[in-house]
Amino acid sequence: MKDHQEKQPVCFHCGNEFSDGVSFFVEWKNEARVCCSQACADTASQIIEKGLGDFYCLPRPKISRNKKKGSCCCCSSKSVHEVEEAYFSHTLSENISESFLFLPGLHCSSCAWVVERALKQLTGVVEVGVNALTRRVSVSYKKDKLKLDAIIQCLAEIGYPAEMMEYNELDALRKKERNTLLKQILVAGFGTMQAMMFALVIYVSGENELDQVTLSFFKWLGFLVATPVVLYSAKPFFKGAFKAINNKNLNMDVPIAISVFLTYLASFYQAISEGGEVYFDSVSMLVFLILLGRYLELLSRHKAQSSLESLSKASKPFVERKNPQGEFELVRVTQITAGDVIRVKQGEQIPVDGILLSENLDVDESLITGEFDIQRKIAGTPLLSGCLVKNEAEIRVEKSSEHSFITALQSLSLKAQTSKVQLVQEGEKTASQFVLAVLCFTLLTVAGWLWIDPSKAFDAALAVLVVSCPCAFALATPAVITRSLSVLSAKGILLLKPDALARLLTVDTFVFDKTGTLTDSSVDLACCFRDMPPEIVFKLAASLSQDSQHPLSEAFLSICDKELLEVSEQEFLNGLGIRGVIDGKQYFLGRPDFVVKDAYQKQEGVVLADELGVLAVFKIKESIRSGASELMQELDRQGYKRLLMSGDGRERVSQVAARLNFGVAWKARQLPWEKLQQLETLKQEGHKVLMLGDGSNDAPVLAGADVSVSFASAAELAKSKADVLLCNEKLMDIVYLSDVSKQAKHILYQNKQWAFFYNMIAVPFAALGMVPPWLAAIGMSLSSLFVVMNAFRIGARRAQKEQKKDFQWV
Amino acid sequence: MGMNILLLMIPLSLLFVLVAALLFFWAVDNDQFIDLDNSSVLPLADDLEPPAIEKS
Repeated sequence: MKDHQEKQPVCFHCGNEFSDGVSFFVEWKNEARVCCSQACADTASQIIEKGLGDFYCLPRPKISRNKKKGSCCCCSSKSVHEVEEAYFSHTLSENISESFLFLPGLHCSSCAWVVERALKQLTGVVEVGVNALTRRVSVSYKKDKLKLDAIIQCLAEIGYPAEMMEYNELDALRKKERNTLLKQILVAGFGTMQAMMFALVIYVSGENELDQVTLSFFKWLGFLVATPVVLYSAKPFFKGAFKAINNKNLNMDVPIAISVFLTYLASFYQAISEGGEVYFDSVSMLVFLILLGRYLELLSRHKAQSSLESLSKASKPFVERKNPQGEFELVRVTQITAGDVIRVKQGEQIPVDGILLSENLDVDESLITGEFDIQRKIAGTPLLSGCLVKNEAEIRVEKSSEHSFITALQSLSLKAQTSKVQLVQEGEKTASQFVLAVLCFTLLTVAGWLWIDPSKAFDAALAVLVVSCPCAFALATPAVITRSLSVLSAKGILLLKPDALARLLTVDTFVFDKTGTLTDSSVDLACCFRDMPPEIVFKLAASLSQDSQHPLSEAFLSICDKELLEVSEQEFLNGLGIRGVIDGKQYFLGRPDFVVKDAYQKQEGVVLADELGVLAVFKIKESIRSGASELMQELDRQGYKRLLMSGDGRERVSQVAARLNFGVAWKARQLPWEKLQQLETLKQEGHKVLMLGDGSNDAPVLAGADVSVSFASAAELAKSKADVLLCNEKLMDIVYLSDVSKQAKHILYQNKQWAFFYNMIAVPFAALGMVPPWLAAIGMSLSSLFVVMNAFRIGARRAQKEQKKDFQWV
Repeated sequence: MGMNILLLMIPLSLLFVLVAALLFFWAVDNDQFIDLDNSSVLPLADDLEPPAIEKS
């Protein structure tokens, strides 16, 4: 850590190293601290001002660096309208409302700490609940003292942009499910410990050391503590088994329920008849261990489900509609009908298909068509829903929400998704088959002993039942899945559908989208005039680009984001460019025909000019994302087939394909359904496909692919169809993902082998009556422990290496 | 005989278990177990060292 610091400064706020020299300062505890950007410095000073500076003492993982300027400061948060507030909050009591917010940037307990403190400082806040696992915050507040707007503003100031969430009944249901299971685990745990204690007395006492009365006293004590375990804690197994038998199928619950029920009943019989061994300790432990596995599974399933819901629910269901009086009012998107006039603002998505009424509008269609250029639309042109708008405009609605393009894409995706083959829970199947085999073996044992020596039949059968351990089988899968999920999420890889891990193993073909997935847009200096040094040119351009959401502005800022000059009278001119005053001189940045009305008019690209004329011309180019070529090399090395599918034009796609060595495996000008068709063809040829994409136009393919991967910054529709989200936007994370899935498979295989061999060895001995109850109990717990410990090896090798670099603790 | 003390101690221990279980049920119902990873270190926040000052 120390040598890192000497080489490169580390940002005080986000903890990232930054090499580009210039830094921003914020004062904390009477010392100046360096920050990598203005946004970080602003956020830090807000946190310190609120008296929450202790945040910086807490251990934190790195906050992903805000690439976009201003994306984490207050200017980007939109104000919340009353209509929205009424929709997104539900009333708890007369004057108190509760709202649910989704904070994508909340990743650790330190974040939770600062968010909770900051919100509690607001007057009117009654209660704050922060859940760092699901990244959700619930706030209840007094309606007359505080508005939702102020809450979101406050969160934005300290660097956590929030999205409003609809109240979700599922959350409450899940909480109930989790709490019930926790209670059942506790009862099982307490029962097991007590039962073991009483059983120990019987185990350690030698022959005739205890009189018959004391011995049966302890047996009855065992019965007493095991009864709540079987009747209360084991309820989920009995319920599940009953349901499965009713539906005439077999799940893991059936053998567990039979095993628990028979062992308990037989031990009870032994206690009454004052003969033989009792297994109250083993039966309690069986229930306890399997419940623990269930709980782990439940936690990871809930986490994945709620992140998935956050993604699909956080989109904005409101839009501004012009009423007959000519004023705009907020209404739900579903209320819009053809003929209405709506208004969209910079950075928003067009909610429904329509026709442009305003003079002109720049739209980013890349998420819909894969087209990389910003399209300039003039009044009267039709607009597709799902495009991002770059300036404010009025639109006449042509089709209602349900008939719009974006909805069509959605239903196409839904169709593709249902055609996905449901993966059978293979682990459950083999395990339940195995346990049924054991039950048959128990019957055989009984039959065998009845023939040889009927008095021993009952004891031996009971021993077989206890020794054969369904625990190791039942725990193998949840332990492996839980461990894999936590290893992956520590790396910023979010598994939205845990079974994707198993599907990932079969993948042999990778399909890539181009724009936004493998490429970024960037600008290049074509020529300078009047001896301007390039650094100054870029600095001027980047300064003018501040606060603009145009992708090219981001491209300028990514080249130069330090020591930006102060811009006054900054003006964004609808799709033409930016005008601003720097150091008393007026500058323009934008389209050639906007900047100057002379010979450069025909020139493509972007021009920087002052009042005297053109200063520089920039070329727009597409650059390969970092990590893309490494990823391709790695995939080639491992022998995967790759394919590039893009909605963009032939020339651009072929260039990228050539640079990334795709050979002939690329398709240009693909519409969403054509992409889906390509995918179907691949699948019919027997290929298993992984799709990586970020646009709404990729959504049907993402939904239909065997495994789909998307980025945290992707279009909402694409994200909601993805199995896996890469939060750090690193392409190489895919390789890590596939490594973990391979490791998980290997460990799962080992675990099953272990459970199998353990049983193969132990069961015959039990059948011969050679395993005393204490040995059965030890064997069962050791085999379960082995399975769980083995699962911890997943990601361990890499984790050690990583730990030296940065400290992750979520 | 010394064994008679068991007749007192065992019911007493069972009573303790019952009380502990009831307390735990109460805690679960009051959402004390929702987020186990993230609240545990926060009381220690006051004792943590501030990060080293960057020299640049």
